[in-house]
Amino acid sequence: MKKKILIIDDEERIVVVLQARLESKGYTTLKATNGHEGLEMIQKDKPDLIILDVRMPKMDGYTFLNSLKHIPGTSNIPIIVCTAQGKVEDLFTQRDVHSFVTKPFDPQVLMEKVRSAIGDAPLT
Amino acid sequence: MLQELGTPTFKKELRVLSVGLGRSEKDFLQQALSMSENYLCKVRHESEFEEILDLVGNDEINVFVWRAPKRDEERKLQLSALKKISGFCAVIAYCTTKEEMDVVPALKVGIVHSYYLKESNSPMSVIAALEQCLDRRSQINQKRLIQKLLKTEESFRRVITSSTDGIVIVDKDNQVKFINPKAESLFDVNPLKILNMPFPEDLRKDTVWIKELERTLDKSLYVQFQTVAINWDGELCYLSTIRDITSRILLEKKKDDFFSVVSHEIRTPITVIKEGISQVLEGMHGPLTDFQQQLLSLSLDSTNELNALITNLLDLSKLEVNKTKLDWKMAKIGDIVDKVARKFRLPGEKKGLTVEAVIPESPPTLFLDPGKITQVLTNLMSNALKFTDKGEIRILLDDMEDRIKISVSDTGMGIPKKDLDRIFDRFEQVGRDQHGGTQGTGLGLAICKGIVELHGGKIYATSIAGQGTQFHLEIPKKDFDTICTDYIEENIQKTKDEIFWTMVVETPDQDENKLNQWFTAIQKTLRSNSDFCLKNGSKIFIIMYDVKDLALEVFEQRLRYIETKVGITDVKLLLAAFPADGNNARSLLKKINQSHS
Repeated sequence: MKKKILIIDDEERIVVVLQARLESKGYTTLKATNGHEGLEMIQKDKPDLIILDVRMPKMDGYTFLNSLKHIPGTSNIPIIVCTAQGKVEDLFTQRDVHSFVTKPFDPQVLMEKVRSAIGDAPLT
Repeated sequence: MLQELGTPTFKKELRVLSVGLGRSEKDFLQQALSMSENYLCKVRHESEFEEILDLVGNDEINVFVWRAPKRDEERKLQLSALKKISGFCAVIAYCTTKEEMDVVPALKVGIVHSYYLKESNSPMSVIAALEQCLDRRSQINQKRLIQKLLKTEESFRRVITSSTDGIVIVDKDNQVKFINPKAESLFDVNPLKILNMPFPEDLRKDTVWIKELERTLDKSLYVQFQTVAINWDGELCYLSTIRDITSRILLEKKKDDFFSVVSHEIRTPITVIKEGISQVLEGMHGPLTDFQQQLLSLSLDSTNELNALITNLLDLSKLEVNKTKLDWKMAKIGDIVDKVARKFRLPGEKKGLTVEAVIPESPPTLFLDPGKITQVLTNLMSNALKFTDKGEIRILLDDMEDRIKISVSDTGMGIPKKDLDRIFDRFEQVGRDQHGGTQGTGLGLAICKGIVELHGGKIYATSIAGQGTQFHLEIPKKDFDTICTDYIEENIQKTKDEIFWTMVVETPDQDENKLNQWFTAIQKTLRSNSDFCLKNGSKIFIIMYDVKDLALEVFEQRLRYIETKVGITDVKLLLAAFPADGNNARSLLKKINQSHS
């Protein structure tokens, strides 16, 4: 079965390029434009990895993580925080985060982090 | 005609001028005055009133004896002219009972200071008049002086009470000795109740600081205190000028927000451009011709350059508004230098250059921001690489007594002497033209300077045109106690508007004495409304600032963060509570201990 990655980012164009890269490497992608949608998506369809933006309308990255704590069965989903803001590491204390990527990201660095979080996508 | 009367030298000398006296009257006056026990009078006589007006103005005359003219009209005229004379010297009127009716009113208004009557014909009446006129005059002078002082005092008071800055004077116990209306309104205190009571802010220091004042409404008020020690009524006091700087602070905050928004808004499109080009270039979406590949490579390089420029601009802006926070750590400076040198070995070789690092055998461990110092060294090395075509690039670490010095030298084109000072200014690109327009933002050295200065160090360059350039940076070695105290002071300043902050310092050893020393240093630094927690016997300090509004939940969160990130689990807290809100601290500590046991 293909590994599912949920991209939560309010910028449609970011989602498009991320999807293109991830899907070309054999992953399946889901998308949400804010934390609320992300939470709904997770309840319907459990992803293997979440790539999370920080600054978003309606529900930002911090609030999303706070809410995620209360959804059972999600504590093992790795999360990569992908933000255009500088150092945000210190602000994420609510829950373990797999890693941080700064926009604009280096494609190789991003893909390494994805692989380290959920492994290679099975070749189909 | 001056004539000396009497001889005793202990008598005070008086210069007396009479006008309008007849011969016998002159003799009588002179004889009478010579009998004075207190004064040695030098008398001069003039006949015309008009002629003496100039004489009395130049302070030559102490006493003026005026013969009131017999004719009413003339008397009245001279009386009005006397007004001027009585401003300069004491005036005695000499008259008959007939003229007395005009002289008495003049006496009342101070135009004449005393008088003697022709009819009394007694030398004693003259001496009495002399004593009286000198007395009256000195009384009048005193009164005038007091009026003048009162007027000056009133002017000063007006300046101080209408000042748009608050002014407060406190004594050695921080009790208010003086407060102006602006300070009363800034601190919302009653001027009658605050006098001789402790001022809400401790003003007993010779310095400048900023504080956010608590306001019940949803409004912030920031004030800057500037205090100097003064002598007030013979005792050591502190005069503080307090300025409302709210608008400036809010503007700075807006500027901060602006940077953060700009950085976010620009980085998003750059991410998309970069990622799109990368994917096509990688062949992810189909094969490319060589020319297409070449074009896209150029586009990708330019995108990266644009990103670097924006990052630099934001870095510099943050440095300029003092918003760059250093991530202080104990770091092995030798390793940092070595790592940077290694990074440049391969690119150097490609240009046929030797890249060498000269590091002493046991380089010191320093308290600095390793990331930022690496950024500075990388920038200097990449400049050296850029402007050197043959020879070598050398990075040298020198361990000096109170500081370390790192020099990056090259055998490149050099920098003309006249340009050496301005290369650290922003957007200066010295040597770019000669070098065929080598790419750069012109911000790198300005950023380097900012970072080195944040470390309390300095950066400078020496160069011989055509032979090479040396960049030197010097970073002071601070002893750990100083660093700790500085750091706390700095953080108290920085976080004054937050209700809570934690500070984590890793100590190089676990010396109990050292911990105690710091504890004392920190106690000195913290103000009375703060509380302080110390994790004893291990590597961690936790300091809490303004505990009163701190929720247990927030504290627990911070604690967990320390536990997971630093790996310290057995947290035992000691507490130093200061009188002001010791109870809050104590109850918080109780809660913490309960939840931990």
